[in-house]
Amino acid sequence: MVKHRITQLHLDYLQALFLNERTRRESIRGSLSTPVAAISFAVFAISSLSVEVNPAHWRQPSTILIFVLAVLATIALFASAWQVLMAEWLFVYHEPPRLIDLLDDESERGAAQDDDQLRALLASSYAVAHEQFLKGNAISARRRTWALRLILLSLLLQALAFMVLPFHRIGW
Amino acid sequence: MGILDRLLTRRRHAACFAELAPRVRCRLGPVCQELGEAEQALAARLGLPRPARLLLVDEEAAVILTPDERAQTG
Repeated sequence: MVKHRITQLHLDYLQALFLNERTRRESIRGSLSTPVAAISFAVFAISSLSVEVNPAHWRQPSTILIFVLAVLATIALFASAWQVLMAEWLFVYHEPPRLIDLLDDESERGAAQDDDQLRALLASSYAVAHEQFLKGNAISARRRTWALRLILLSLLLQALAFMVLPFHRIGW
Repeated sequence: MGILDRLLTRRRHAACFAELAPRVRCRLGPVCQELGEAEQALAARLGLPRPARLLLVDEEAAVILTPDERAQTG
């Protein structure tokens, strides 16, 4: 006997939540392209910086500062790439039951399920699938956000290094 | 010829759907267990005679786990 009566409204609500969360999954995946594009730009910027700096003047304070900023920018860049990689790592999808499984349940009990019971079963399927998707999406979204933050930090550090570059050229 | 056959023939069932590799089974074990526990908990809360039986899809290995396979894996 079902303890709580699950109405059609409950079922529609949970189905909408599940479908929205599944769509959100794809939008998180799509938004990962932003940090990836920024990472490729940051790699190019670091290579430009390395060409501009003369390592023979390593005793100059400006050279040391550029070196420190470049190392920090590189660490942030790799950390960002790691976050992008982990955002998609080992992701599993949870899907509602197949029709054959629903019918098997019915035949095992030897009687047709009443509408209330079937609705409750479907609602619980959507509820569990939504919850699992929600957990996975929360982790992925967190990693995506950190990837963006870290690559932004890397770009800012590189901007600072480029600002110091003129002082390096005049021998400070 | 085997390579040509793989390239040119669209198979009804890809090899990755055929059976679960032991390493994939090992990796998905905790996921199956967690999902099973969540299904049991909600079924008990709602007073359902049997818990929901979801499908699990692993993207890495392109594996679809039916409830029976989940029970064996978890």
